[in-house]
Amino acid sequence: MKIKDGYMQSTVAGRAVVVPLGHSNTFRNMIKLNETGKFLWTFLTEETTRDALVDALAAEYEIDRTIAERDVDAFLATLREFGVLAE
Amino acid sequence: MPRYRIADFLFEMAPRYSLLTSVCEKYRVETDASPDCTVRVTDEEIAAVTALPEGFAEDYGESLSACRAVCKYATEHGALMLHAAVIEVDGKAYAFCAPSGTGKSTHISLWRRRFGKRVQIINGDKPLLREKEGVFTVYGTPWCGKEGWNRNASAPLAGICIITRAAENTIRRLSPDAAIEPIFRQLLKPADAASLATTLSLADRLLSTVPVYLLGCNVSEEAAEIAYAMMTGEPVPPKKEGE
Repeated sequence: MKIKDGYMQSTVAGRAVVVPLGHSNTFRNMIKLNETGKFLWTFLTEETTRDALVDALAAEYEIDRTIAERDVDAFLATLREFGVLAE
Repeated sequence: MPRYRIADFLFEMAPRYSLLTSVCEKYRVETDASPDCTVRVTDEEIAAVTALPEGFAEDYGESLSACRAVCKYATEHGALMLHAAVIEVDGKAYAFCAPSGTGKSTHISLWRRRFGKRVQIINGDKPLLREKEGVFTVYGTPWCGKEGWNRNASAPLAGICIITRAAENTIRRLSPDAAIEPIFRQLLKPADAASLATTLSLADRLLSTVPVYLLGCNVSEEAAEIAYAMMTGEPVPPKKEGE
């Protein structure tokens, strides 16, 4: 899985945000990311798997795999809802 | 070819229809300076507008296409286009954002009614913002929504207010983080990556320098009064007879 092309990640007012590219003359909205979301988004700009994300998150934040799984699944569900994930 | 100074950019364009000529007339300048941008509206652009279900005429198609070209150039060159109604009070600009139909025009009409001629409208719909030396300045543009409210004027931006409808009038300042989404919804996002990156970094500075407020309001002069007190930081002046 991987983030689809056409999104730009930036930081605004101290917050990681994602904005779609190429929608000139429209007022499309944006996605706000929390710290975990920003970490996972960076991994998802390259082809990866759910398990790899869980491993990376558990290692980065020194948390149990079960907690990391819950966070990754919640984040992936949000991305699917926004339609930004290519699987 | 006629030249127009809009948001301190020099545009060159030759309108075909009288609508575009008349909306831009206030922005026309006589100068030998070389233009920053030449706007050429194509037949295809006009046809794309007239093909919309709203049934727009060719002259409107030309004006809207010229607006898009000017906004595209401006946002690619360091300006922000904020969908907002902007008023000027005592030399400072205050912008009001809301989804169409929520009552931007109604609310700024209340300011006019309550505070009279001290309130001047800069633009009813599509102002441009530019940052110079850490200060954001709002510029009027020829395109301003159905009321036709626009002046060729500019003023430093002192506050942005997000308008929502409510039974009671309340106003509070939003944290920059809470302001991101409502402000982004009203910003024109350029299509190409480099310009979008510029827009995002300008938006970052906008949110760190200009206060953003959330107004819940009904249609009453009290709504204008609480917004005035919070946004200007001044006590509400007594009502004058005849205003």
